[in-house]
Amino acid sequence: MLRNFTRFVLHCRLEDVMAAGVSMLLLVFFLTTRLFVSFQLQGHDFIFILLPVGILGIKCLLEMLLASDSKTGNNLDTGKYLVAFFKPLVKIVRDWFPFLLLSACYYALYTNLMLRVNPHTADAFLSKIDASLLGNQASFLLQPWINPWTTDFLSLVYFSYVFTLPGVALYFYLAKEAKAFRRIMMGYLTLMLMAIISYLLVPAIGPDEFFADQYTSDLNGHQVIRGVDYIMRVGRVGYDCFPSLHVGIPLLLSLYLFSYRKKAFMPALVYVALMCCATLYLRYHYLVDVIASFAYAPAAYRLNDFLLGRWPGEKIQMQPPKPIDIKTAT
Amino acid sequence: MPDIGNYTETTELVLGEAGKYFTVLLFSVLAIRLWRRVSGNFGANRTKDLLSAALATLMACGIGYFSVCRSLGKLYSHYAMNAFRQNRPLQALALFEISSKYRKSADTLGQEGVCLLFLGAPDQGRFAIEKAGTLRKGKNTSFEQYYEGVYYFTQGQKSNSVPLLNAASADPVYLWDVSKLLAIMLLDENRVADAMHWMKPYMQAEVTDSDQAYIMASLKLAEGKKPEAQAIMDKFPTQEEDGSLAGKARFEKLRAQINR
Repeated sequence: MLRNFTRFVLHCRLEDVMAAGVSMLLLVFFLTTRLFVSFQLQGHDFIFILLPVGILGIKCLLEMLLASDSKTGNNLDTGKYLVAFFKPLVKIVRDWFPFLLLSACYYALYTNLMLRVNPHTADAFLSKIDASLLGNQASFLLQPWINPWTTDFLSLVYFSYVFTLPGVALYFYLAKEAKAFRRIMMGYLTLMLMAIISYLLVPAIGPDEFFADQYTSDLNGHQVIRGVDYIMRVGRVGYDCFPSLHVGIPLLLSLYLFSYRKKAFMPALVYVALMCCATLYLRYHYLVDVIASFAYAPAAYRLNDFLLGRWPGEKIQMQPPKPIDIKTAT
Repeated sequence: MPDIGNYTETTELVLGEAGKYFTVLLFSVLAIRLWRRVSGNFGANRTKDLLSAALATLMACGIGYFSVCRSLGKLYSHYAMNAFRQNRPLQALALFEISSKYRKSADTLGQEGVCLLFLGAPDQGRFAIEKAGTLRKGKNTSFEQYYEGVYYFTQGQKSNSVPLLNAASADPVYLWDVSKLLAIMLLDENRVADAMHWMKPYMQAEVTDSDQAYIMASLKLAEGKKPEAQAIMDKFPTQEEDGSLAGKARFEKLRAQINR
C-alpha cells in the first residue's frame, strides 16, 4: 500500500505535491504549536493568483454563453452535458489552485514567524553595506534629483509590478503553453520561498522608515500617486526588504521570456532596470537588496528547473504517449 | 501607519462579493445554455433537460436574490455607520433599519441598539444590544461595548461604564479612546497618579483632540507646569466641534484651576 502511495505521489505534478506537503506541515504546526495563530490571504495571493483566475473564469463563462451548441452536444446525456459545462472551470481551478495554496502557505509561514526567527532588524547592517559600496545611502544620493514627475513615473513603475507576473502567467496560460506557465509559476514560488526564508533571517524595514528623520526632502508626488503609494504600503507584509522581490520577480520573468519570447527579453530588462531605480528612489529598498535580487532570481530559476527536471511526475508527463498495439487492441 | 485591519476587511468584502456574483453568473449562463438546449431538443433527454434548466434558473434567481439582498444590506449598513460616526444617530438608525430589512444580522441589531441608546431610548437600546449578544452566543462586539460604555459614562454611571470600556479596550481600534475615557474618570476621582500611569505610553504623543488636551493639561497642572497646561488648553478653545466626551463643565473647571 505504501509503495502504491509513493508511486501515486511521484506521478503527481510537482506543485500538487508541494502544495499538499506544505499545507499539511502548516496544519501540523497550527495544531501542535502556539507559533502559528493566523492564516490570511495576502496581496500576492489576491493579485497574482485570484485575479487571473477571476479573469479566466469570466472569459470562460462568456465563451460558453456565446458558443452555439453543436449537434453532438445536443445528443449528449444531460449529466454528461453538465459535466462538459463545468469541465473548463474545473480545469482552471485545478491548474491554479496548487499555486494559490502554496503562495498562501508561504505567506502564512512568514506572517506567523515574522521577527520570531530573528527578532533584530538588520537595517543598520544593510545600510552599512550600502555606505561601504557607495559612500552614502543610495536614497540620500538621489535626493537632489527628486522631482514630482520623476516620483510619479517611478511610482507607476513600482506599482506596475503587481500586474507583471499575473499578466505574463495569464498570457502563457491563454496561449495554451502549459509547460511555460507552470515553469513560471513554480519559479515564482521558488523565488518567494527563498525570499521569505531570507526575510525571516534578515528582517529589515527599509530606508524610508529607518532613515525617516534624516531625509531633507519629501518625495512629492501628485495625488494619484499618493493613492498608489498608500496601496503599496498597506498591501505589504513588513520587514520584507532583503532581497527586493520588486526587482527579483521581473528579473525572473525576463529569464523565462528569454527562453520563450526572445523579442520580449530586452524590453523586460529595461523594465528591470527601471524597477531598480524605482525601489531605490522611492526609498523602499537598500542597494544591497537590489543586488541580492540578481543572485536570488537566477538561483530560483536554476533550482526550479533542477526540481522540475528531476521530478518523476514531470518526466512521465513529458513522455510521448505509447503507440497502441493494434493486434492486442483488437 | 496604514490601517491593515481595514485592508483585510476590504479584501474580504471584495472577494466575498466577487465570489457571490461569479456564482450568479455561472448559474445564469448554465440556465441559458440549458434552455437553449431544451428548445432545440425533442429527443429522449428533453424532460431531464427541462428539469435541469428549471433547477439552474431557480438556483441563479435564488443566489442572485440572496446576493443582492446581502449587498444592499451591507451598503446601507456602511452608510449608517458613516452617519453614526458623523454624529447623526437618527439618520444612522433609519439606515440600519433599512439594512436589516435586506439582511438581518446580530451586528446590525447591535448597531441599532447603540443608536437607540444615544437617541434617548435606553431600554429599547439595551434590549437590542442584549439580543445581538444572545444571537452571538453571549458575545458583544467591541463597537457595542465601547458605545454602551460611553453612554453610561455620559450618564454618570461609572460602575456600569468601566467593565464595558475595559472589554472594548481589547480591540486596538478602541484602545486609545478607552484610555482617554478611563483617564478622565480617574482625574474626576482626583487619582492623578493612576491617570498618569494609564496615560504613560501616550505622554509623548501629539495632542490632536480636546479630550486628550483636557487630560494632558490636567496632568501638567498636577505636575505644577501651569504654562504648559495653559498652552495645551489654548490649542482647543472649543470642545464641541470634535465630539469631546470630557464636556464643557470639566474644561471650564480646569481653566479656572489654571487661571487661579
